[in-house]
Amino acid sequence: MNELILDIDNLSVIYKTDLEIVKAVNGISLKIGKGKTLGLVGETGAGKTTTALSILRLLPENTGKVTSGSIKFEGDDLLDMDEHNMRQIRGGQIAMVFQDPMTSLNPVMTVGDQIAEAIIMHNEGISKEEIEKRVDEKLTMVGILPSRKIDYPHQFSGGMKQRVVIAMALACEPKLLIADEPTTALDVTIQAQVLMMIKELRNRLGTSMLMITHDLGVVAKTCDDVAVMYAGEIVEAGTVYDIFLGENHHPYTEGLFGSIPNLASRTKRLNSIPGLMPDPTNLPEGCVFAPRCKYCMDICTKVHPNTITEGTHSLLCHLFTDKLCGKAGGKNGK
Amino acid sequence: MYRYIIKRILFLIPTVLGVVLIIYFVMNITPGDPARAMLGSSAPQADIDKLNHELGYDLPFIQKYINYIYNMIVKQDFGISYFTKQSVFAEIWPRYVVTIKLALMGVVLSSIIGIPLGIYAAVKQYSLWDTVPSIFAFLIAAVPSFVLGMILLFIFSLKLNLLPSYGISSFSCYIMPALTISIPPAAMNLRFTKSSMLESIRQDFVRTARAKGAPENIVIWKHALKNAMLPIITNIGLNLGMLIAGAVVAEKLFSIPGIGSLIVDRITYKDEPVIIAGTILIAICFTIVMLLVDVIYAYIDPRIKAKYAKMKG
Amino acid sequence: MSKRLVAIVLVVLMVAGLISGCSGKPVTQENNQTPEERTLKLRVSDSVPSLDWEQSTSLRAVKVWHQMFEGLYGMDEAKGGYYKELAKDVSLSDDQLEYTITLQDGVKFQNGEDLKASDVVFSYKRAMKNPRFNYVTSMIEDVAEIDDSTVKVTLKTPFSAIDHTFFSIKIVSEKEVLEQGDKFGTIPHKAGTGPYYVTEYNVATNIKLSAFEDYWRGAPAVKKVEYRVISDDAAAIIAFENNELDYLEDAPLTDWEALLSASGDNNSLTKGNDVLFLGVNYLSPTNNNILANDKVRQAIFYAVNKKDMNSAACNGYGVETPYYMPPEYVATSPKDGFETYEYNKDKAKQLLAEAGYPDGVDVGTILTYGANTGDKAKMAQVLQANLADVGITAEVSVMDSAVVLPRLYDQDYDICIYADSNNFDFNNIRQMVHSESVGMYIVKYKDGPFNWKRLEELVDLGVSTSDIEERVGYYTELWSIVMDSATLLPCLSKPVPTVWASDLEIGTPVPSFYKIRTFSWK
Repeated sequence: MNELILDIDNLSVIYKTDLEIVKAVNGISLKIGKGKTLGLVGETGAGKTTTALSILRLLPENTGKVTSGSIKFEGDDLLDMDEHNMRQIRGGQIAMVFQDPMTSLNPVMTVGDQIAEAIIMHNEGISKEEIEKRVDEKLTMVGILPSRKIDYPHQFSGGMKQRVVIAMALACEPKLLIADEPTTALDVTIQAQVLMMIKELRNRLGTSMLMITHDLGVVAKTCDDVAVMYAGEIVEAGTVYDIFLGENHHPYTEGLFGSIPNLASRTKRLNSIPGLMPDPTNLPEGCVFAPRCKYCMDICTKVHPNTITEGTHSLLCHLFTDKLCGKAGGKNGK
Repeated sequence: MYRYIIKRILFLIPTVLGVVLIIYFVMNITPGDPARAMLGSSAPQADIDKLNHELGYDLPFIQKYINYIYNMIVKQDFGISYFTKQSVFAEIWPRYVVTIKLALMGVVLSSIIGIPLGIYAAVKQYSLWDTVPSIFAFLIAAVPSFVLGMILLFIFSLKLNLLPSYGISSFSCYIMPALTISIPPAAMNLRFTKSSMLESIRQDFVRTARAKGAPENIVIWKHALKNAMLPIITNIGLNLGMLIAGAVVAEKLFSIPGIGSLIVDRITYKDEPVIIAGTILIAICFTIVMLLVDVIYAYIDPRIKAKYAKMKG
Repeated sequence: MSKRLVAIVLVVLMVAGLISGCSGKPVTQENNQTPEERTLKLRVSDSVPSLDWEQSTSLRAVKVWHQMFEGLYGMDEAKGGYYKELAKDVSLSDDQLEYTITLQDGVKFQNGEDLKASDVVFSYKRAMKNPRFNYVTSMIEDVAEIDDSTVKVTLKTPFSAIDHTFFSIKIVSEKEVLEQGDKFGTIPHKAGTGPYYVTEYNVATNIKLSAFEDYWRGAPAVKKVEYRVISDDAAAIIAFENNELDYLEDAPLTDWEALLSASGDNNSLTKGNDVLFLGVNYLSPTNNNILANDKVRQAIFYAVNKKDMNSAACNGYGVETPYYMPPEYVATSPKDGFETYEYNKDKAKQLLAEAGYPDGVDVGTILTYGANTGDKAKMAQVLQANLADVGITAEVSVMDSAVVLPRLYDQDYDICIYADSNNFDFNNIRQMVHSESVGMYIVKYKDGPFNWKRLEELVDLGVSTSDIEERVGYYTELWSIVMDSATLLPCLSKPVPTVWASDLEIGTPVPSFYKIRTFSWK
């Protein structure tokens, strides 16, 4: 078994306000192997960003709370760490690229300064020349002329801004890169470029990655492992082959694949999964997907399913309890 | 960028011309005249008219206006005060300097008090650090500055005997007046800063900064604050401009010979040369302060600098 | 970037600190100074516009000038009346037109020059050219030098109130004035004969005086004087309580209690020369010339409650008065023999009914000037209430003096509250009643239903003789005619509150013209 760089176990996160409690993440477990890329798939509101923020402990102070679980990074539980050490980790060991490049950069600082800042913070006593050298290096790495480091963010296009953000994230050559829908805000051609670049960098630097996306195409291109998230729970997880080519799928995953429009056929309507994701302040009893599932059984609305594992492939569904339980002695329970 | 600055400075000329015209016009339609104010209520009308004529007060106001502009530009002569018969410029300039000192002190104090408190209130929103200063700010914004001044006078001059109660003979004389004029704007600064910061902190790039591993104080002071500065600086600039003209209350209370009280006093005497020269000085000062604010904008926000550079002169 | 911000802030702070710090001198500690070095600190409520005594008749400035200049006569408010100052002997010719004045011996100007008759002639001629002093110089035909110490003043007509002229016109050094030329009055000078001369003059902030060691009466005890401009009354009181002022005269009455406790024994509330009175314009067209009705005017006068006015306007410290000028200060002021309209509500109502208005009437507006919280405004409000008590309605209007005074002099008002002061000779009533005083009187008697011709005769008669008894006789008749017309009613004599430091000795407190040369440190 490959060494794990990130091991999330039974993580639950809530947002607590005076009026209500939002159950954003409910007992998820994720594992990322060293040098591997895990794709976290799900629609908006599934809890993907919350998971990412929890890893770096960047949840909003007043409202976000981790109620259970552990996040082990190279063996150390991040949730137990003190703030000082956490800061060393942020940007240095684990870096994050956010969704919207337009607003992720500070408009009043030059790009060069912003990248340099990341470098300075994790390399005490580094000389000015060394910083400049590295900044130039990183910019070249993402395909931007080093001479542009004195320019301000508003002088770059969207795609280039995202590249700067990526350069900033990789400035200290972190061990784990969390990319939260890095190409969602970009157009398709740029998307392809940026993805290629990310892949190439990852290969070159050996960075592990958590790629959060709702685009299955991106997953296919870049990920080694996949986890499908719905309403704060991981409903299906496995290698990319398991998810794309495997036999059994969670009804939600089925629905996801089913919604991808087919270029070859002509249809008047797009396929979609009927219904909406449940209100996180008021989750249904039993299986969270039950209200929308076409295979819904009686037990689904009453009892919360257990995780069924088949090798590298795990499913959270009552459908497979009988089928798989008998087979390879899969793990039951949480 | 320089073209923009020069254009703004050139705008001063019509501003000054306009100011002088307005004042002559207003003086023209308000009752009273310098001779009556100087000779007193019991002097006969004939003497009043004679003195008014000597002072040149009874010319039609357009004539006075043209004479004044001519003297100002060609001879750099601002005339003689109707009231004291002394050179207007010699009378005004030292008082102008005093007011500038006082106004600068007021602005600096109000910024030092208001801005950090505002930042704290924003960062620690809903905590005591937020509610207490905010309530204080509302209270103080409601208190008129002369009441504040009197309280300070009472405590520090009378009861504690620490500070002198009038004049400008030493630095300590400036402390209470500076506090008096700085506390209400400090309250405004606090509220402005707080709201601007609240907006700024919620921005994405602040989250990016934290994700980079930046310690909280760098996140606040370097990233959030710099982006929040724009409205705050406008406020400070406006403040300075207003204080230069409006420190009158503090000037009167603490017997500080400033330009605001000079103009107010001379209005009763309809001492036109002094009023006009004083107002021109204030107008110029205000214009320059606003220009400085705009220039500082350009330095803080490169997007604005780009806009100025694009503007063709 | 934030470093730059911090740097900018520090620079601004530094600059501000430097500018203000550099110009300052430390506040001196007064306590351990000898009487020789100690400065007497007084307050003026507004700038003194000039050092030339001819530039203003404002009492505030005159009080300061009295320390520097002297006239042929001086005034002693404590004992009453004028006394000879620079004049040693004065003799009057039989036709009462020529005054021969012998000057005091050994008088020097502050610049060291001796006082000569030519200086007196120069000073008088200079003042005669100034319209501001017309009212005291218009009767002078000529001033001539007889010899170095004798001056002859020739009048156009006999004028016994000439004392006031001799007091008002100050003698200046011809040499000094001519030397300073146009600048005279704007810079410190040594042109007076008085006990103090100016060493520093900042219009906006202060005037510093030093004792004139060769003063002809002997060097004064207090050597240094400083007048500070403090326009805010409250600030002045605090300054006094804080020992930053040694002598505070004309202190605000509203804080009298506080001042009393702060000054211990050193306080006085002297009756002043300022009179607040009521004027009724019988020519007013309002409400069909209602004020032309004698009985209505009399009703108004009987309705006036001077006690209430005193409480409101002077906090009760004023003196209700029927006199236009206080007889204590003005020897020629009539003491009795005229109608005084003692407060009588019933009589007022009765007169009103007789006039044909048993249910009351509207008389227009009570006009006055000054601050909305000032004494005249308060009096106006009390008057309005007093009138309402007897059924007379009136509005109150308070505006700036620049607006109101021209209206009063134009008889464009119904009822007014007016203040008059600095009257030391009853002849000054001329300004109020003589037809030639156009632009100075409030009520126009000429061509009116009253015996105005006799009024004018009496004014002239009053100055035709220097016998005080005779003059009082004429003025009593004059004042009687005025009071009978029910057009002017003196109400209150304002008190002048004065407080001074515990270690200052000032002799008898006087309301207006205190003399610092009589002060000394204990």
